Amino acid sequence: MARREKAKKSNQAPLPSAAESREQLRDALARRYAFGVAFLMSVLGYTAYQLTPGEALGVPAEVRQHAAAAFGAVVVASTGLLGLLAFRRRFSEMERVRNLRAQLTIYRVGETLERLDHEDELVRCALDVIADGTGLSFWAIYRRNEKDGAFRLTAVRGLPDAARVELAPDPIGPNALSPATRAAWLLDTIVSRDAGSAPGYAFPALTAGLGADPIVVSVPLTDRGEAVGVLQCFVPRRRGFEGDQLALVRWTASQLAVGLKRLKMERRDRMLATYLRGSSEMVLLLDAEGCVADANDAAERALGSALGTLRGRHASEFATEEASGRPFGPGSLGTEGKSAQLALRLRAVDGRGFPCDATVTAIAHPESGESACLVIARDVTERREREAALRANSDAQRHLNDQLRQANGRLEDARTMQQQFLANTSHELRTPLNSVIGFATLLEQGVAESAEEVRSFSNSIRTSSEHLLGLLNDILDLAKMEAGRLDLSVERGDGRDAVRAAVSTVAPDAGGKGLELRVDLPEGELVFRHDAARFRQVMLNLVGNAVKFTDRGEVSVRAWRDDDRAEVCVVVADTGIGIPLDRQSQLFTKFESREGSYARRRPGTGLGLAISKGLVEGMGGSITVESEGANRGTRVRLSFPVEGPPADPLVAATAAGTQP
Amino acid sequence: MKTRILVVEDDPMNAKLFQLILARKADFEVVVTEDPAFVIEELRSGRTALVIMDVWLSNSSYQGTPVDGLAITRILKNDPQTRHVPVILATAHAMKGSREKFLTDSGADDYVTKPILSADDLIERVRMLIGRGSHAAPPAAR
Repeated sequence: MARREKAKKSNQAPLPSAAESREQLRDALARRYAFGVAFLMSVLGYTAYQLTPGEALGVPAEVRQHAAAAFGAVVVASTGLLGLLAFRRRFSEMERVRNLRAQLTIYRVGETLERLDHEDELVRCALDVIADGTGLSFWAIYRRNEKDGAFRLTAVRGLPDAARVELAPDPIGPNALSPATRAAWLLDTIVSRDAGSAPGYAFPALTAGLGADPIVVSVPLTDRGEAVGVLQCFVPRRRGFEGDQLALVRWTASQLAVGLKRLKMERRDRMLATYLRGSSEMVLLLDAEGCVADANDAAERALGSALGTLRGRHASEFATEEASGRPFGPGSLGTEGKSAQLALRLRAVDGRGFPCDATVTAIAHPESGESACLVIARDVTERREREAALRANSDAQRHLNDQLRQANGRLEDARTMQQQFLANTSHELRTPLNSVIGFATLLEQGVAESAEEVRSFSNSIRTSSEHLLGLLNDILDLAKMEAGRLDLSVERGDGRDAVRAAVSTVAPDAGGKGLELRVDLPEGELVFRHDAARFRQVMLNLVGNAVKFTDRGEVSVRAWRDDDRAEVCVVVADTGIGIPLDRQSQLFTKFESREGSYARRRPGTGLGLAISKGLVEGMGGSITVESEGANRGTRVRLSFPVEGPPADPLVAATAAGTQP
Repeated sequence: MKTRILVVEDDPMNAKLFQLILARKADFEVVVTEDPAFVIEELRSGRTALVIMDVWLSNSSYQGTPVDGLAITRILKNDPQTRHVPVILATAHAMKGSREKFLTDSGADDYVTKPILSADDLIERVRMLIGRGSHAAPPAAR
C-alpha cells in the first residue's frame, strides 16, 4: 500500500491531476457567463427605453416606432448571434475537456500498467484510473484459469466483492452464456444493452445497486490472438453509454492486456534466470565475436578463477572442439534458433581439461538483439570414465571367457586323448596277451598233436611276450617323457655308428622285401650332442618304419653337417605308402601309425614316432615328417644344432684314415 | 560234414588260436579270412553256420573303402540272404560301454573279449548260437 501511495505521489508532479483539469473547466465556463450577463443587460436597457414616454424626448412617434423596431431587431439579432457563438464555444470547450480527460486517462493507464509489477495491483490500479477517467464506476475483470480454461471473476470495482463466489465458471465455447465468456470466445467486444442479449445469465448480486437492466460492456484481453481475460463494465441504464466511452474502454483493455503479458514475460524471465543461475550445467552466452557476455555460476566455477571473471574472455581461450581439435567459436551457426550438439573439451583456469557434451544454439542477444550464441555444456568426465571402465571390463571379461573356453577345450581334448590312449593301450596289450594265454592253455590241455606243434605254440607265446615287453617299454618311455623324467645322457659324440647299427638291423627285412637300402654318411666324424643309446633307438624306429611301410623301391639314410645352418641333419626317406596329407598332423600322436590303424601285418606299437619325437626333442633336436601324400613316399628329417667351428679337416682326415 | 565257422581276424596269431580252439577242441571246420567280399560271398552260399568277427581290421576294405568288423557285420545283417547267420564280435577292446555300443552299432548276436580266458566257454557260446540261429530268422523260414 505504502509503495502504491508513493508511486502515485511521484507520478503527480509532471501532469495535471483530475482536480486541476476541473478548475480549467470552471474557468472556461466563467468566460461564457460573462457573455450571458451582457446579453441580459442589453435586454433590460431596451425594455427601459420602451417604457420611457416619447414626448419627453421630443422625437416623433413614427420615428420612435421605427427606431425602436430597428434597435430591437439589432439587439435580438446580435444577442442571438452571441448566444449561438457562446453555445458553440461552450460545446467545443466541453469537447476539448472530454478529450483532455480521455488523453489523461490513456496516459495514466499506460503509465500505471508499465510501472506496476504485481498483477493484482496492476488490475486494481487500472480499474481505478479508468473509472476516474471515464466516470464509469462499475467494473469487473475475469481471468482465464490455466487449469480448466474457464473465465473466473478475479477483481471488481464499485461492485460487491462477495458477488465473486456467486458466479460459476462458465466453460468457454460456442455455448458460453455469460457475456464475458462469449466475448472471450468471439475475441470481440460485446455491448449488452438489454437483459435479453444474455438470456439465462444475470448478475443479480453483482449488479444489485445499478437498477434494472444495466448495460454490460465486455472487452476481451488478448495475448497473441488468445483471450487471457475479460474487462467488463456495467453502466446504469439511465446514464447511457456512448461510442467514445467504448473506444476508451477498448483502448484500456488493450493496454491492460499488454501489461498482463509483460508481467507474464517478466515472470518467465525471472524463472528462466533462476534456473540458469542455479543449473548444474554450464551456461554461457557468447556475443557475435565469441566473447562471453554472460555465464552462470556453474560455468564460472568450472572455468573461471573466481565468480565473474569469465565475462569478456574469448571462448577459444578455454574451449576446443573435440572432433577437430580446433578452438571453439560461435562460427557460422546460421539462422537464429538453429542448434547443434558438439563434443567440446573445456579447460579450467588451472589448466585442467575435461570433456563436455554441449548444445550450441544461435539466439538473439537479449539486450542488444544482435546475433549471439548460447552454449549449454555438461561435464562428461565421469560418464566417459565409467564407459571406458565398462568397456575395459567387458573386454577383459571377453578375453577371460575366451581363455577359459580354450583352456576348457584343451582340457576336454586332453581328457579325450587320455581316454583314447587308455583304450588303445588296453587293446594293444590284450591282443598279444590273447595269444600268450590262448597258446598256453592249448599246451596245457594237450591240444598239440606233435612235438613240432608244441614248439610252434611255445614260439607263439615267446613272440607275443616279446611284443608285450616292447609295448611295455614304449609305454614306460612315454610315461617318463610326459612326467618329464626321461633321463638322457646327452654328450658330444659321433652319431654315425648308431645310423649304421639301425641300418644293419633292418637290412635282412629290407632284403627279404627286395628293397634297396642306401646309406650316405660323411667320411669324417658327425659330432653333435646326443644320447647314443636313445639316438640308436630313434634311428632303428625310423629306418624300421621306412622298411615296414615300403613294399617296392628303396629306403635311404643320409646324414651330414650343414654349416650354414649350424646343424647336423639326418634324413630317412622311402618310396613307400606315404602319408595322406590330411593325416600328417596327427602323425606324432600316440598309437597313430601311418596307415591310420594298428598295422599288425607291419608289427609295431604305434608309439614309435611319438617316442622318437620326445627323444629327439629331449636331446635338443627337432623332427619333421614330410610326405607328398598317399603312396608318394615319406621323408623324416632330424636336425640337431651344433656349436663350435666347422668340422676340422684334420679330424675328418684322421677319422677317414681309421676307416677300413 | 563238419559245421563251418568263418573267423575274420587280421592278427595271424590270434587267427591261428581261434582255428586251433574251434577245430581241435570242438571239431568245427574253420575258415580264416580278412576279406569282406569273401565273407559276404561265403555267407550267401549258405555253407557257413557262424562268424567270429574281429572288430579292428587294419587291412580290410570293401568296395574301395576301409571297413572294420562292425561295418562288415552291418552289411551282413542288412542283407536278407546273410542276416540269419549268427555273428560273434571278438575284440581286445574292453573298455566300459564297448560291448553295448558295438552290439547296437553292428547288430551282432554276441560279443567276446580278448584275451579269451576259457576256450570251453567260447565253444559253448558258438554251439548255442548255431543251435538257436540268429535272432534274424533265415530267409527260408519266412
